[in-house]
Amino acid sequence: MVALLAGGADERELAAGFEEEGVPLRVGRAPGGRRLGLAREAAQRSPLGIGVGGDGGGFVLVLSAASAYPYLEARPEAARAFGHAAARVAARRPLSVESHRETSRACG
Amino acid sequence: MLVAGVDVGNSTTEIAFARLDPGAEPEWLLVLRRPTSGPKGSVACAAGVGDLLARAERRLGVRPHLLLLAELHPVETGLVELGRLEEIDLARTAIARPASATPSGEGVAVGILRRLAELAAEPTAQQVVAVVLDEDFERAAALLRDARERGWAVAAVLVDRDDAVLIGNRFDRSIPIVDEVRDAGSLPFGALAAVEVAPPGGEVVELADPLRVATLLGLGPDEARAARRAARAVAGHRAAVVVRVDRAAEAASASEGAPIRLLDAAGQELPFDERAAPPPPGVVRAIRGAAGDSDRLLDLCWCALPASPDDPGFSRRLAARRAVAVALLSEADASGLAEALARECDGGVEVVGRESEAAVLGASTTPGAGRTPFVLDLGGGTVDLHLERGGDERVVVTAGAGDLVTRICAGLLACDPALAERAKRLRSAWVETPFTLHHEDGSRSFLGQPAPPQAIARLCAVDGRELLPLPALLAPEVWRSLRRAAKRDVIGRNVRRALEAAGGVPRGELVTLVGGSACDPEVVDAVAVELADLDVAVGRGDVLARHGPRAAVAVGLVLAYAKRGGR
Repeated sequence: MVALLAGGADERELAAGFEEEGVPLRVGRAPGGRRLGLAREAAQRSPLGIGVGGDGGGFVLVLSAASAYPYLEARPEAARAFGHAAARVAARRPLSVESHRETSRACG
Repeated sequence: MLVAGVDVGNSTTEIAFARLDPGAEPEWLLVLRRPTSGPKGSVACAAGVGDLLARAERRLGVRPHLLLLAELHPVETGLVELGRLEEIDLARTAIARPASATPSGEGVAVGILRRLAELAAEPTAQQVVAVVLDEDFERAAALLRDARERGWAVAAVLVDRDDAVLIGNRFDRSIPIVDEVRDAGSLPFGALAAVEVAPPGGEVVELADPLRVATLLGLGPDEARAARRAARAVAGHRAAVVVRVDRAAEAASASEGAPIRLLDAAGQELPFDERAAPPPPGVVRAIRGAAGDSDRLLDLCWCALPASPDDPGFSRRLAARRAVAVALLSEADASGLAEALARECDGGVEVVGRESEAAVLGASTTPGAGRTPFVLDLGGGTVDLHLERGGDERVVVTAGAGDLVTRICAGLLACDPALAERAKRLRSAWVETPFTLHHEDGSRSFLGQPAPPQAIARLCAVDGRELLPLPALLAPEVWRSLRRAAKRDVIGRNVRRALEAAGGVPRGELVTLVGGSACDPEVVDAVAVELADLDVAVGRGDVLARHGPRAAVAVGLVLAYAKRGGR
């Protein structure tokens, strides 16, 4: 999985969520970006067709097959829970009930 | 005159509205239904009836003059978890079964429970199970490495947060590390604990074996029962912790007595075995204990949750709960309801008589059925067999029908009854990827829009385009077989109990199925299979040739009243 993060996004907590789920994550830095656009670019680069983007306002996960809108999103302080949820989507594991509270799907 | 036949069921209230003129056939105007608004027979049901009357008044422009009621049979259903009761009685061993999907390491280890902070002191010789509470994973791993270097023998780790892999990667990948232990702070520190993690896809082996539990924790033969219960409680899980709790002088606890006691008409106690078949209707007259206390019972039915040979782990976890779904049918006093309803219409309320006659009359309006002397009303609360033999009417009412099936489904799926009510009627699918479904018949389908994140890698009930995620992680084929087993075990079995209590059905006879549960093809199949050896024809009612199996009693009440020469 690929994540592109602009300044202000908590890389450590995001990466911890992925590591705990056993899903490898490549993090790239993109100082001036906005999270939705970064997520789309990450999805294009990722062999799984799933990408994460983050900035000071939070995190977003996008599926390249439906990249018009975020598939998952979270506020900045929920970086860890988002990391778990994003990793689980990649690993085809069910999300936990707690992650339904922390993350959400944009309407679409 | 406009009349309304009112059928207040355990789950559904149905009203059939008809104009009755002397000497003419009833003119059928409308049938309405809604969920019953209170326990059947109680005054609270009047609200639901009132709502339907108001809706009819808006559509017909006029209120009925007279309400026709039948005698009412209220049924209560509940799910009793006998296994949970045993857990409270575990006494000598405490268990934690963390929900963690991501433990670290593998194998079983035994040690004294110690808080991480305690390991800052001088090491002792004994092996320890370190407990990490509210600690950042980097710091926890550093403290564990340091403790080990100074001489502590850390055999396993318990973590309250979801950090097992993070800590394992930084400390020791080989030892069992169990996380998401919710009550970790209240574990008995200083006590001996056994921790086991199975490989991915596996289940605990040592802790599921009572002899191994006893050996690992040094339990004596008098504590073997505690070891058995602990082993049963953790079987089927990937990670588990069993703690030995020493207490002084064990007294035989009061809960060693049977959790559910059944009494017959003479007050004698009858044996309760959740694996055995319930006795015929009328045998059990009272119940005491974990399912509540009730007297004046007409029937009692119970059903253990079905197991699946295709998912033994699930079945073992379920078996630990020893959940039993129970339905009680008691004599009711519905006069309060009749009085409350009398105010709704000018002509008041008339109790037309038994549901039997109404059910047979209503079912007989099915085209091609002619006379339908055997009517099985598969409702929410009861399976009723109505017989008419040479002018003599009988009814056998058995407790347990659609609602009991819902309870069982809720127990299997670990969800609330409202979701279970929907799931029991719908086909299911596993969401393999955001865009593909694996259906319960083995077929795959592609989704145009991605499935919502909550549905990913979950069993879902499929309602048109909507996916309803279900909490239990079951393969859809397994869920389908469990769902069908629940319908066989409850409705199929009660059909058999009712027929046996009635003395059987002659060969070649027609048995007509009516009631809400008869709308479910899987229920009809279950009944047909149950009756297969009796060489009878099983058909679904089609009341007034347009309502299918529904509204038989409501329509029948109007017909019964008309038959009596009602104005």
